[in-house]
Amino acid sequence: MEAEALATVRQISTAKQQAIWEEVAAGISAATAPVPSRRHLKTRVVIGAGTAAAAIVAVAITMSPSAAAWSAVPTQLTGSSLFQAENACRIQVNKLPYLEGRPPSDPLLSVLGEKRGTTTSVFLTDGHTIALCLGTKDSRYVGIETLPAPPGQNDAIHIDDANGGDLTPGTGTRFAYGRVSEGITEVIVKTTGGDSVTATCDGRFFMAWWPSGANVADVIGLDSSGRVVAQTRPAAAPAGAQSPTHRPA
Amino acid sequence: MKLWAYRGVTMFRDHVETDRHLWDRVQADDASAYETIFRRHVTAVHNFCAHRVGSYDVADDLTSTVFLEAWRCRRRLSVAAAGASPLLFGIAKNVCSQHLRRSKRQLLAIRRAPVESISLDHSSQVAEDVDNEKDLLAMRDALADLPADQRAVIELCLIGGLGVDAAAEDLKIPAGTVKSRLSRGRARLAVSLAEINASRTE
Repeated sequence: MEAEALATVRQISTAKQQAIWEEVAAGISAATAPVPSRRHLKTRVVIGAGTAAAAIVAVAITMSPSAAAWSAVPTQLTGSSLFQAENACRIQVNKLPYLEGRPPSDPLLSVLGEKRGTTTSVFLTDGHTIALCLGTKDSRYVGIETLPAPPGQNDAIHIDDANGGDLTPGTGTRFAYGRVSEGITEVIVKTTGGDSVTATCDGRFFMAWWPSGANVADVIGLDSSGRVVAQTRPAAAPAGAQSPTHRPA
Repeated sequence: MKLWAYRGVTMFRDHVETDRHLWDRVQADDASAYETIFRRHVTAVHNFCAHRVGSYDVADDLTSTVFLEAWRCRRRLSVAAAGASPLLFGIAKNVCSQHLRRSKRQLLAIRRAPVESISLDHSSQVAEDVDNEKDLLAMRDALADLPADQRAVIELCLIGGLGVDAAAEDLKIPAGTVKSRLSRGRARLAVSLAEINASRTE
């Protein structure tokens, strides 16, 4: 015997089914992606040690962002495009399997967002944690970590994470983020591979990523007139921690 | 995306593979098999969540959470002969409870708000959606008033679309008991709905 359904039971449209499946598929893809090796994890913590123990809460990696369309100078997201990126990122972050049962206590809001080529990235924070979503529809990195202690008053540039994650271990995609003092309006990240990457800088945060395994060599802060007002470099990498400098095809 | 690589095969197998067979493949990380299970049960899970939380929109998010959770726990979960529905409803129950706990304050505020204060768009679609959500909220409240045993049967059979035999297997009770609970639950639901609707129109 098949019972008759309640009046409020309804079929969901194919489009809605597809939208939900895409959410699920993205989560599956993130959950089954390779976890960084212990060597990578150790490297991150050691490099982060000089920056007040940035405890990694959760990191999920899918595929590498498209390197072909990468640009060293980003387009900053504002208005509705930032709002959309923020919402999409929040959904992804809240679904990280690692965060189950302990979602951020306050809403994660965007501090900055950017687009390099076809790749959109957005940075969210609730004041205690910081989350990054980086990627296109088919290629996404989602990560969250404890926001390191605020920079000291004398720090014109404070690098919170210089080894921003081996987004793609082996082929290399890295990011760095940090905070700057009030007068700094532009930040340039020089990599050990020789690249000069313009960071997105807003709300006293900066963030940059690049499609190579090169580490951060220098971070340069400029004021609104383009004058260099600060320069810093991350704590030395541990001995033997070679960083690949090739760029993926 | 590699997840889609064997989609054609899955669609062919759709007609011959039971949920149990598909689940064996899911346990071996076959995402295409999981997509087939998803397509089969997404509507039932969505309705289950909507009736638990009283919102079709919220159910969208909860449905994806249910399927993500089922995937995450795939290795330690097994599918019964009745299919994947009971397993998914079990997860949905927990996911909805977590959601309701988290948003208890917001829900109370929504329920306290007079319906007249909702500013309606002139679009007939929006008005229809609001009516649907109001009906759903009434149904959610009516379901909450049911005894747990009757509610379980109503959720499985009338919302989730399970047959009596499958519900009996899932609840580990005789089919006759399912039928009688269904009948009593239905009658009680009708009375509760009438009372709720009457109190809202006062």
